Amino acid sequence: MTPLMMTIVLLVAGFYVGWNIGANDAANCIGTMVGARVLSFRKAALLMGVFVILGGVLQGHHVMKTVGSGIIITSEDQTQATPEKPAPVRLHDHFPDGRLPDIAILVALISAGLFVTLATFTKVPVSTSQAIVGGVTGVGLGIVGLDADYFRVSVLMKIVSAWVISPALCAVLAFALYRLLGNVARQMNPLIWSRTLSVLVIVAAAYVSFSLGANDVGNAIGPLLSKYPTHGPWLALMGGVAMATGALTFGQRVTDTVGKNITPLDLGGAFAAQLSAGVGVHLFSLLGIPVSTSQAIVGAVIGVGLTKGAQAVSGKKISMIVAGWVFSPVLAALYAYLTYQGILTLLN
Amino acid sequence: MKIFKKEKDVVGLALGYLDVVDQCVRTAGQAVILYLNGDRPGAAALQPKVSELESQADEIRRCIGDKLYSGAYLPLMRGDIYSIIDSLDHVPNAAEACCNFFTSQTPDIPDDFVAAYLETSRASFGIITELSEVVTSFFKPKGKIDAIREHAKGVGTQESAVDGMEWETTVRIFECPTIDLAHKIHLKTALDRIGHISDRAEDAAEYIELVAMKSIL
Repeated sequence: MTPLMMTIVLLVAGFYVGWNIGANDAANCIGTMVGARVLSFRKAALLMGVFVILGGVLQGHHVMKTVGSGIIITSEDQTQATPEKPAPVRLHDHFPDGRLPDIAILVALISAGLFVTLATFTKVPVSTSQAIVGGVTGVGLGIVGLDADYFRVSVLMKIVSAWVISPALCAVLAFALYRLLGNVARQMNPLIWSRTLSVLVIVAAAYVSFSLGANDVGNAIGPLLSKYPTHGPWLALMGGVAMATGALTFGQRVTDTVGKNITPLDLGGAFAAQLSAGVGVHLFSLLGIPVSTSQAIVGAVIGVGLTKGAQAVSGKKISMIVAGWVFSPVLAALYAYLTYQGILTLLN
Repeated sequence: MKIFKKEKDVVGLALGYLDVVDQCVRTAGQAVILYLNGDRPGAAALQPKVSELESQADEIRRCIGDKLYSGAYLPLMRGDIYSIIDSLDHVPNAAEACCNFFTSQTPDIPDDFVAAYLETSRASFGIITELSEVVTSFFKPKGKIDAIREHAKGVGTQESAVDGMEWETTVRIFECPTIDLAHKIHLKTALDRIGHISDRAEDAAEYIELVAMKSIL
């Protein structure tokens, strides 16, 4: 395959992952707004698109860096080698260009994308962030095998911890925010409150979209950064556009489905959940840690539910989060590992 | 500023609607009281005005519906507002029906019962004062949920008082040996017509309170 051809294939693969994320996560950003008919799907998706692109271009580089070069050690620059702990012996054999091979980037992207598409069609809730981290780790395992020296274990541990902390943090934030809103609502005229909420829901949707862009653009095109390290902003723009396209072209079905799970909360509850999820995801994006927007939203919904008492919280939702922590990255990694091994076998 | 213009228009129309409803109920009450005081021509003269005000209220109600249809408020609140206006509309309807009953069927109220009918009428038609407070608290920007609840409670208390008067007078009517059964039934119908106004007012106040409570998180 010519270098130009490979570039095109990789960019298409990145766009595919971004499109997938946009289609899947549109519901997290605009489900409430569309469900409560504050805005039509088209207008809401356009709003989401704009803010996803802004989030990706302005703040997507943090996560992009982690996904692109923070998980697998591909060059000596990343090892911080010391005499006691030298760089892995076969580093140059595995990564002669000091970065992930093109085929590995392609497999990581395609496997994460296909994994999410497959999960969407079978209605299994998975996290795109966890799929891409799993995908990158899977190809890493495919290249170097089970050798911890080639992995930044501390970064991986940080990411996994964030997956656990993020929904819990969003739950706490949503709980506090909903309580605060409850006090404000009592002091206001019901009609004024209804108007205020309709504006707040739009603001929250824009903010979650921005956070999604800041977090997931890195997931969509992070692996490409390994090959094109100087084109970060352009890659972020492409990732943002891909996600916006995904939301506009394929987001409606998921929005309708997931929107119904969020809107049974009152509009104030939905606002509290979205804003809290936005804050949670944004915070981790700034730290460069890819987290799940879906799990952040579910965590926040649980937080709102807890204001009505523990019995209002569905055990199914909690087990869904826990299952997501384990199965999404592990299955995506396995999928990427097997695909990479399969391609290598075919090529040899 | 054009932000929330449709919503402001709805509030303006709703308060205008309340004004007409208030006038309609008070005029009908005035007619019934004139009738009970023996001024039948005076009561009959007010009847067309009551009908005109009731029609005017219907007209405004339809305008509110059109405004809501054009996209004012969120769909959920839109439905609630329309239902509030619809439930309020039963009050002038009941007032008009009561006024029509007295002016067209001219029930013969025995002298012993006039005072009781007057008292019940004043309480039932007078409920519009408290109901107006409920509606105003809901639609006026400075209105608070607590005020809505307080006035709705006032409407409920007044309705219970009317119920009590109605019951007491009904028992007295049916215990009276000098009135024949047909006359008793006619008197009871007249009493029911008066009582309907406070019943409908209570329904409307309760509905507004319910909508207001839905906004509490």
